[in-house]
Amino acid sequence: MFFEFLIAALLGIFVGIFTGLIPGIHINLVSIILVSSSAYLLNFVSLPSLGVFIISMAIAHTFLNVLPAIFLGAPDADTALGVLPGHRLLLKGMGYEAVKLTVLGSLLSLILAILLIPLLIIIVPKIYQNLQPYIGFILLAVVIYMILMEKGLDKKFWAFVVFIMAGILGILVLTMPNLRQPLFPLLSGLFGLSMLIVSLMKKVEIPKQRITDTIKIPKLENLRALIAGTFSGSFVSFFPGLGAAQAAILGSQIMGRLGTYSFLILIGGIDTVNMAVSLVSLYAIDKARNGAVLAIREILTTIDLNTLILFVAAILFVGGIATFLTLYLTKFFIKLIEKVNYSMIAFFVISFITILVFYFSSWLGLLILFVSTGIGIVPNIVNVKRSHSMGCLMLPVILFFVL
Amino acid sequence: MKEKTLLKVALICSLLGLLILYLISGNIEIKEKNIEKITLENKDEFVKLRGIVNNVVDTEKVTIMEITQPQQITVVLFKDENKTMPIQQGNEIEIIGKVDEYEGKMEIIADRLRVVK
Repeated sequence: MFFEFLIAALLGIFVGIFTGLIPGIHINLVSIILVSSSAYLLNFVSLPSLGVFIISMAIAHTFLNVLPAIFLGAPDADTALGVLPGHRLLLKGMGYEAVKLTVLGSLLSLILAILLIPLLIIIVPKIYQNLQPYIGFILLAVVIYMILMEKGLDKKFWAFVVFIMAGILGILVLTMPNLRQPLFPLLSGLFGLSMLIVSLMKKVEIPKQRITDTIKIPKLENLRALIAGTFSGSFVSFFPGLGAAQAAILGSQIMGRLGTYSFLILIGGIDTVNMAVSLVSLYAIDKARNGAVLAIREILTTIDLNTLILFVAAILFVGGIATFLTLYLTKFFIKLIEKVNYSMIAFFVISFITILVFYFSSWLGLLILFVSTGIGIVPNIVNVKRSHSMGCLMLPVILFFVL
Repeated sequence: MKEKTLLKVALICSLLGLLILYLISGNIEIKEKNIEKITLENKDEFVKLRGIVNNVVDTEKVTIMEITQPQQITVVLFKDENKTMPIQQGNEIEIIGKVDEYEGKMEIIADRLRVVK
């Protein structure tokens, strides 16, 4: 069985590299394919091996998905907020550091979360039972706080406008029937294309990227980011409709003002912790909170303590390997990005994303991409935080809980 | 933090994960069960068992088999495109499936089925 699990984990990492690096190819897609072919696959492998494969793919994905977000401005929901700080560092020649910070966040938060699993198993059912009726109001309070934190009445007003516009667009897009991959055009426009277009208008040049060995971050700030990442990443994995995007807003607000470095640690941590702890939700309250865990539940029905330990072991193994892989692939990305003119890369990425959107979501997707790009440019013009564009996911979730 | 330190932490993580994976893998395998030991307490559990097909009823959507070890239990296999396989009386089969109860009798909802001979 050991070698079967090992091969499943390695294959999961392999597929996770592709889903992480290629914008628009989500782990949910692979999970759905796996579930639908599980009856056939079970002729060759055991049930837990399929679970190991899925969780390995998902964890590897959370390490690698920052690369397209930072280097190409093509994020998914989990990394959308990391695009701007990541890109800011890229334009200072610190793209490698940006990725390294998210990897640092992913790995250390993952270890912290795993250490907390015994405690989480005990408290998750209680938290879930007591907080579920108030989750919408907690998120609403976070959003109000976020808007009020903007300086001056003018900026507060624009922050509100951006949040509401993105929110309305989010509601429209997420309730559209027969739209495949609705999040891809929505998030690519709000966070990716808008940023690339602004960069093109400003005639941004990507400087030579440096590869440094050490990143100096004040220990306390590092710790704050890790705690915030672990807490918020775990917290949202207990509740339906919440994910890494909401956790990033929650985490960045509860710990007060975080610097660019710490924010990237937070983003990296949240995504990975969210995925890992959602297995605890499956074990403790029998609820699947994301596509990958849903697929595991479909295949395994329930998980016992031994299976949970098996998955945690796979997560640890994959987390370590994914750290090496992400840093190695970042160096490759840097070599590539240094050789090509930035305007050309930006133009290529804009075209690539547009083609992918058309492929996945057809003409309707292109319309969404066009509108979301327009909304995504607004924060840059009125000089408010781009995180208000996260209203596209926050508003639908708040309304779901409050109404 | 130095990159070497980060990579050392990553290496320790991977090795630790590998070690736990090795230690736990022995406890994961679904143990083969005797039909006589399958009781209501095992409901919703996954079990593996082998037996001889005693009787097969094949409908459009489901195959129902009686298998004996010599004790007898009903095995239900829901058909889909991937699950279609010819099973005949006298075949020795291996099943992994979930224990269920139907009209007071224990049965197995097969997830994986292999004809041994």
